[in-house]
Amino acid sequence: MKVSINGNPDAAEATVSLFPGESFLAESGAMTRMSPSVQIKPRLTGGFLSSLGRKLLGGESFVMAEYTAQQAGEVSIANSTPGTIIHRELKNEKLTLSAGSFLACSQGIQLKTRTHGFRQIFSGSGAFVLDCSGTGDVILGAFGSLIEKEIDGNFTVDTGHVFAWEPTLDYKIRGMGNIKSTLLSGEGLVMDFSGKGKLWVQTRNIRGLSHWLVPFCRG
Amino acid sequence: MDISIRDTGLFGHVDVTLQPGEPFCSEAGALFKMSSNTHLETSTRNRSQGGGILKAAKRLLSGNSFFLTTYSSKDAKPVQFSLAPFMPGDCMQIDLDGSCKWYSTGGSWIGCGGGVSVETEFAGFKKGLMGGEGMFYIICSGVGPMLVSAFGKIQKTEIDGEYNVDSGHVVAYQDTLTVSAGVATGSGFGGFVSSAVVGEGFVMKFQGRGTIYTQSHSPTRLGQVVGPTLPERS
Repeated sequence: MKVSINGNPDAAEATVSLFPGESFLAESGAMTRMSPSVQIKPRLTGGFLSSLGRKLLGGESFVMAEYTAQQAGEVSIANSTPGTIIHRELKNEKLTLSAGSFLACSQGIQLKTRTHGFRQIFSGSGAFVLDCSGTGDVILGAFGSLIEKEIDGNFTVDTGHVFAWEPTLDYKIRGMGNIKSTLLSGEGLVMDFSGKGKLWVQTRNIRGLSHWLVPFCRG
Repeated sequence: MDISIRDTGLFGHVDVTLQPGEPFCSEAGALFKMSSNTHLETSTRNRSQGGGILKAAKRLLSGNSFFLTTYSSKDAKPVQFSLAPFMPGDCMQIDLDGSCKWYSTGGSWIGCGGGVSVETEFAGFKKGLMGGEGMFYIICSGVGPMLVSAFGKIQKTEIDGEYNVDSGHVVAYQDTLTVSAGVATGSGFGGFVSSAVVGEGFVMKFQGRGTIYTQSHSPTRLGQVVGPTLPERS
């Protein structure tokens, strides 16, 4: 498959060109337009329970869509939020994603959902992270633009802004303020990264937008 | 008439300069600045279209606050004004040459000028409701400029044959294309279920030869992501 990305940094759309017989997995609802020769099938990734957990707690979709080209064809996909899309080629490597960052991946990439602990439930970015591993393409979509950071040592990021990281990095989640402000606001949780590896940070987060919207909601 | 699209990126807007006597109308909420000699008339009626309550109601339903504003000059000098859409995204000018009509989805249309006339059409359950997009389309015909906006980037596709577009992503298309609502994959009930399960629901199936403009993002999908983070309506 071939990936071209159009519209970075603010409102990107990725177009995946498939050769006959090729297929890829995408977040459900991500398709914007496609050739008529492409078939879509629902797929549960990582089994029923892990899909359910991801849906209930992680903010990711319960099923993913598998696009298969009968003849050569194109599928365009976009994130639900306006922002940057990046394409990574993994060569027997691993990448860990925050819930909501995943957009699509090729065959040959294994996806595994795991929780990273109780406190993260209050973080606003979902309790689950998605581990991608194997060899193939991964397409990720952010809210806002993306900052790629090479970490060597320590670095701290707000949980809602953490987008993806290489698992060579170690991390701990902690509150920035006291426990009361953390529980009440859903903010104030940060991730302390340490070690050596790459980290991607998105410049906007949904929780921030919805906090701004709440006072304007009627009723 | 001089129309220029200002700013690229997510925050495009449109500057319009009208010579006295030149016709122009826009969606009612789009104006954000104007020269002091601009005369505005917001009504359910414009020069090219029969008015009336029913038509106004139709316009309201199409997803825009759809009363038309018509622009003219108070004195005999040119007027200048600027229009901005509600969603962050591209603005674009489509020049109509009279050879075909253009359909624009309710929320995408900003305005038109010159010899372009505006009608609305109930898209019906097939194209509209089930497709998730506004129930009404704005149809422009004649010769002159038409302005549309998008959530995100606008992408042009020349269709020759068949093409599927998620209904929340349609901005405008030529009426040389025939449109039907369908499921994204398969056929019959099985196709409906699997399309719904993968979150695609209905797509618009375009057939024939013509141009379509799509937007990279769907307001509905953003709403679905932000909605659950907001407090419940009481």
